[in-house]
Amino acid sequence: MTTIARRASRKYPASTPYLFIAPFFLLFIPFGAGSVLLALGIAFVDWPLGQSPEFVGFDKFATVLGDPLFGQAMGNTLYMLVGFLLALLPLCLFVAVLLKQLRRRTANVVQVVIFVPITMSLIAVALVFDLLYNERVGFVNGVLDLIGLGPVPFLTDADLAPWSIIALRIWRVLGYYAVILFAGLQSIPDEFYEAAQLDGAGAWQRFRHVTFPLLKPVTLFVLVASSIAAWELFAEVQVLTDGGPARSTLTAVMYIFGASFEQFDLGKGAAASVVLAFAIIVSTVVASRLLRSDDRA
Amino acid sequence: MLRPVAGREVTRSGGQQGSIAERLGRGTVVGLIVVVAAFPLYWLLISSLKPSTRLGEVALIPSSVTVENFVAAFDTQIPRWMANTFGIALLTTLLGVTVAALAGFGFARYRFRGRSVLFAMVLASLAIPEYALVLPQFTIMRQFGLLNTWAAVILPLAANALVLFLLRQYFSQLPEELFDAARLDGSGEFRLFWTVALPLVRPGLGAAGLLLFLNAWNAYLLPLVMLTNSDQFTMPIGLAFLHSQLNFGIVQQSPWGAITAGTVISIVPLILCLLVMQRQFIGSLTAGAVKA
Repeated sequence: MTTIARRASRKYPASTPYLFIAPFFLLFIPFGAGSVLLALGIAFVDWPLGQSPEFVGFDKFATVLGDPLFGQAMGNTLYMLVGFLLALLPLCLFVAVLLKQLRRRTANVVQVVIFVPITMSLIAVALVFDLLYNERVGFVNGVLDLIGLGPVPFLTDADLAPWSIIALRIWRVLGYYAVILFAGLQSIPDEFYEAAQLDGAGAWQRFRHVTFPLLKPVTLFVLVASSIAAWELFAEVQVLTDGGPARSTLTAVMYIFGASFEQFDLGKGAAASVVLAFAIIVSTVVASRLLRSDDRA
Repeated sequence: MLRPVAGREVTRSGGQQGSIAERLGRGTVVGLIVVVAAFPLYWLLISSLKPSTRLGEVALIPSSVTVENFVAAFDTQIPRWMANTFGIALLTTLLGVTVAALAGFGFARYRFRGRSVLFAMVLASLAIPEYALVLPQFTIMRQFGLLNTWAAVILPLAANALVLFLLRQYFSQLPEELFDAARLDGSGEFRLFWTVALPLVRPGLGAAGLLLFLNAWNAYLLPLVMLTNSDQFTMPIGLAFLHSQLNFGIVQQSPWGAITAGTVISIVPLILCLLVMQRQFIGSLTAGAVKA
């Protein structure tokens, strides 16, 4: 590699590589790296929209951390995240294993069908689910009405609404993650299963001792990606419940959005963003540890 | 190694095994999965074709079918929002692929001072959640007077670290001999990029373009913050806006017709893409999963 580089270094002007990367960095510096720094900076100022910022130290963090509403928003988000992951992971593993047992052509068709929801915007998905959940025009309630089970308040009951949101989320991403896991499954050599079968391993044991350990890196990706997405829950909730009823579906990003663009307190919004980003990093580390410690067991 | 493993066809191990009962059970479960995945979409389509007075009807096959909702959708700002969405997604894709291809080539084919630091910076940004950047991006756009312009959405979306990473992988798999040969012929470095490298990474460009397009087409938080004038809305923002009128009963005439028809219109392009190029589509979207 170094010899190539040394040889190469004589072949073009020293500025060439910089010219190639310059256009990307022209965008990345303000909107990527610069925005990260700016977000950190804004968290330390009082900056009502339209006025000039004033340094206030950790005041905004104190405001946010002392705000019971923020605690509730983080709690709701975590609650929906845990419910979402507990349902999603077994389901998408199950679908992936099932896909592998199908005939090639059937698997390819099923793969395409279950992949459709991930191509839709969260808003489109939310509107589709309103057509199912809605108490006046929703399909599910229409059917329940027919058999005399009355309308179920999917989105207007504080206990039920978070689960209605979780179901929507699962519908949107299940196929996507199942297809990713399915791709991982296909890279496990058949010989491993044949050997396990010769040793008398049943279906569950084959899953437990062959599939699961070998699929761990892909499972970790699914766990991390889906939990980050769950922390960022916002669009579908805003459309379907607007955080209600009784703030039972108020999410962290919704709190940040409200602080920044409804109360116009940019410092408070940025401080809450930093806290949430910290929570995401912690949960990502925890997720990777969970799967790694399993290795030693 | 990055390889598009998903969407690949099932190899030897596929195929039905087991007793008739097992196969029957499996078939039932698969059928159930397909129905659960497809039914909400079927219901959306049916709802968009029903007269608005019959929206609540639960019949699986509607008693009467009409295009009045699609006609009604054209009386709203939906055509304009579609044009905005299409324009923003297309320009984001063009700009994003261009800058990421140039930079991917630069990072893959040259060694230069600061290379690892700069690349590490780009990779690290993948860990930063999108919502955390929207607020600073908003203050930047406001500073430059770009709120309510396409640029406010396009510029942040075009700087996509995942796409850069993806294209760098494609470029670094090309053999150096190829470039040496072209250099002997007297080609300049940009010509190497344009005539030698680019044609060889065409699949990568396709995947990158699809990722950028889909991301821009479906973006919500960023355009919601940047575009506040309803003439500038994209489809997700516009549909959410119509739906909010529904909840607050602002309009007498129920906009459900426009909402269902608009939702259908907004999801059809990408679903068609998926159906036409199934394997490439699924491969591109799952490419990020195989980084490790």
